[in-house]
Amino acid sequence: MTRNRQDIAAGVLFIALGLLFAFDIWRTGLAIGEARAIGPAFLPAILAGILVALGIAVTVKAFLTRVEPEAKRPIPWRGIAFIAPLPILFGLTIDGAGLVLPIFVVAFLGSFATRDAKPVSSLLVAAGITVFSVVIFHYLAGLPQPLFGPWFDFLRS
Amino acid sequence: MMKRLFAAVAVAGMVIAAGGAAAQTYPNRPITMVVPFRAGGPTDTIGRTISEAMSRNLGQQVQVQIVDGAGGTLGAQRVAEAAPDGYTILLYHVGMATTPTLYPNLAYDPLTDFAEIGLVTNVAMTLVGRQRLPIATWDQLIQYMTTRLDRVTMAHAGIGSASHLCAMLFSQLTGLDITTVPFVGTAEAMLDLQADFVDFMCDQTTSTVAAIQNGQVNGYVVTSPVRLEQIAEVPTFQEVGLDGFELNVWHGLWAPAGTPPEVIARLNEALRAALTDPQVLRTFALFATFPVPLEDQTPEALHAKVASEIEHWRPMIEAAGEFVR
Amino acid sequence: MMDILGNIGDGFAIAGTLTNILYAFLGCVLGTVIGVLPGVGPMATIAILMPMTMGSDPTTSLIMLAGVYYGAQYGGSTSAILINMPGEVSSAVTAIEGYQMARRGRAGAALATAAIGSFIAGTLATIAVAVLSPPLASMARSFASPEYFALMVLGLVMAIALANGAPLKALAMIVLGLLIGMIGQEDQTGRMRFTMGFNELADRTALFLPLVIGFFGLAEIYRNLEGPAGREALLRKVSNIWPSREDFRRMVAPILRGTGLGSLLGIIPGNGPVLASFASYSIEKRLSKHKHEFGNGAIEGVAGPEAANNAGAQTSFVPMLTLGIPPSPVMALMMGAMILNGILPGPRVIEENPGLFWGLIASMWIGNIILVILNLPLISLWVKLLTIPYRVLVPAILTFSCIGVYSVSSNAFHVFALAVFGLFGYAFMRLKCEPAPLLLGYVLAQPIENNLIRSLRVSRGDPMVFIERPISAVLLGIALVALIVILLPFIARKREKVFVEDDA
Repeated sequence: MTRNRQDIAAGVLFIALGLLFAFDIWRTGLAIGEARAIGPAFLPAILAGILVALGIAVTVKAFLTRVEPEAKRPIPWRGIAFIAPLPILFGLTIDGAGLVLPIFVVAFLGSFATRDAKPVSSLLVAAGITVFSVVIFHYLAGLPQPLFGPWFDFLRS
Repeated sequence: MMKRLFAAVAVAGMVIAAGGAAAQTYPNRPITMVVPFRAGGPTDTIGRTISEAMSRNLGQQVQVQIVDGAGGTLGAQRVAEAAPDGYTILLYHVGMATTPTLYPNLAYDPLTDFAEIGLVTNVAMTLVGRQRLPIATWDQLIQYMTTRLDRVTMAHAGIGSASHLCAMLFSQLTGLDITTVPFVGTAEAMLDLQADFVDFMCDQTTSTVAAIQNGQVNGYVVTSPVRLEQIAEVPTFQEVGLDGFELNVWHGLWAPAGTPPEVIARLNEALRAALTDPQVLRTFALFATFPVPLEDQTPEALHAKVASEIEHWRPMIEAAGEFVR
Repeated sequence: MMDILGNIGDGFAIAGTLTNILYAFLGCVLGTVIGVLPGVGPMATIAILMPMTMGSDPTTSLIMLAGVYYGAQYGGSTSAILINMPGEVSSAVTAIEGYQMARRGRAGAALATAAIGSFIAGTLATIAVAVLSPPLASMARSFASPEYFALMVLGLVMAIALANGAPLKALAMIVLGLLIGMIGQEDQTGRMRFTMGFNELADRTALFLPLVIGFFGLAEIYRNLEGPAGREALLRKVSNIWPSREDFRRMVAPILRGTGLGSLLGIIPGNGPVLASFASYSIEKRLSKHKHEFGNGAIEGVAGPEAANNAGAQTSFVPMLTLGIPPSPVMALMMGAMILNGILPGPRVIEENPGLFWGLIASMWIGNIILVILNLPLISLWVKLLTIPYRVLVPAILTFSCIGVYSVSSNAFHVFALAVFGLFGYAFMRLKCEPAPLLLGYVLAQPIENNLIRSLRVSRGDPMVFIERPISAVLLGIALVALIVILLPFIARKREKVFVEDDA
């Protein structure tokens, strides 16, 4: 039997998030209001308080109990490194570049989140996904985004 | 040397020719009409109605793109920052004039960051009340409100919405400080109105005409100078003697500032054509709205409208209290 | 009664024309095809496909759009079951048990259960809509802000029951979901909250899709990438595609109960269908003889919520068609489509446009048949999709999610949120905190707060408004009882020291 580290971490995370919301309420100076016109801080303040309280309860309970130890699980750093930044990349480029380029880049880089990706096959996969997406979203569904956005305007005369 | 000069002149000539050709061939690809509100709402409906008619006139697809959020300002910002080539235009309403006061940190200036295309439509407002209110005449209405001022409530569809503006204007004109109740969109407000929970609402005919026709709510006054055919029993603001209660949710079309004048002219032409299109008129008539008069279908009229409306609403919004920061 | 039969007959005459069946079919196919793409929810699907349905006869185009709607929901359930990627809240509930079934090699059975459950629910709910529309419409009229507030509170209480692990952590996840639902522009004063100065985060409901994809889909991908194989070898044997006789026996009662719940709650504007699938899940969990299977792939947990979801999707047409009030963003879209087709929804639609009204109702049933015919044979194909190597599936899921999220509001911040929520979702998954309660908290945050604000504004700050109104008082009473019922076993069970089997 060992300490319930999972629950301790969860409890601490809840406390931290609750405090974060509470801090932002204080930072932006939101008003609590009164009963007949409750302010923008009323419910969030209560909720943040409850979250902190629940976080404390989870942590305390975790310290008091013991659980069976579990097999250690690795953190998928490679997956995180190749997945997490991609939506941000997509969001930053979609307006300027249009559909094709962001889709291709996200699909290409995304495949490297898995260990068995090879550059050539990933290129093919990315090309396939791009064609599929363009056909479905652009031609079939008629999404208003252009295939090539304003960044490519210099190519147009 | 001569050679180089010659080359430069030739290039310049080509550029001019190309520019001219570009203007002549505008539009040569689909145009995006940004609608800064939720899909399915009244503005989206107006957008899809006129975009179809404009497509026919322009010979290119005018596609509606929803860019909603923050009272429509996100969509407006998108268009303000878009390339001024006539391929990105904005459909927006009176919010163009109220958001500068409501959102002090706005990233654009409604008067200088856009090239106006023209006014589209004026949607009148109606003051409606819940079905079971024992009110038949205007005097009774005012008396009801005055004697129950501590209990009467007026719903509105959200901060800065047309119905919110209307409620503020009504309070100002009558001097009655009625408690407003915020909803998200008219549909929600209608629910509470029909459940007899809130007493009044002032909203666009786009949302109220059917409910009045069906007797789900009572109509007390319209903000248009003439009675509306669809709800002919409801008097105008002048008839009941509430001077100044003239309020329109006007919609306009904008392009980014710097769009070539000939492109604006072409878009304006397409807009005018759309506003005489029988199908557009039919859809507009459904919710008792009309195209603006001919003289208002111009860039100049829209510019003047925005300028005057900003000043019209500023003091009222500021007086109404704490807002977006 | 004869009237109704006659009306339905007329409806079938209209919906049953070759053109209309063709368009219903087209709508179903398109809706399924787009809706099954991971990360593209029904709302996005309908918004994307709406322009396509325009231009033909109003009845035809609405029938097609309704087909898109059902198809999108079907597709959403499919991706929820296969790869834990629900596209909306109600299919998030399906994902809880459905995905566990898939992990155990029973994807086919789960999909078939969902299809059969949806079909039965759709059929019964169609009858309910036809018979009960007018009286049901008036029921919705006795609901105002206090009643909605009470209903949402009841929904939150039910969310606790969703948790298959520790109730304290589930409660914390609900509260966290509520807090995330506070991000954006407050509706009474217009003040921005927790937006860090970005007006792009003003919309309080827009983070929903990123939240679902992040907490369910991306978190699951990260988890699968933990192992050296790149993906757990769960798909080695996709045995028996069809549900067994035992499965059929177990799904009947949940489907019927789910249909009843869904039909009833679907009529109530404001998240009715969502509450229905959550409620169905917690009820089935309580009633099941196989309680230990919940959290590990209980077929009742797929059958009930799917039926509830589909029945609710059907009956949520009622307030839109009869009151002119759309009960959900999706219905708001449908209403917009009706207006564009020259029909203003409201009580007079039934009288003035009986062809459209009854034709649409008949087409609901036709749509359900088309979908079941379309989907049952497709199950083996869908299941084969699972054999797609992860190096293809991961980039595909990522791109579709980005496009799906972006297409709703063209707002890059919502795509950014996807990245953030994916990491949080994975962290919470490792800490054994379940995502479903968080999701329900998020969805209910705005309505709970706004209905509270409104009720108190109208009552001038008097909280008695919730007690004095009978429906609200009853709902709050039920919530209280439910809370006690839900928490009692946990308190009692403490002594037994039950080991909660952990699978995640």
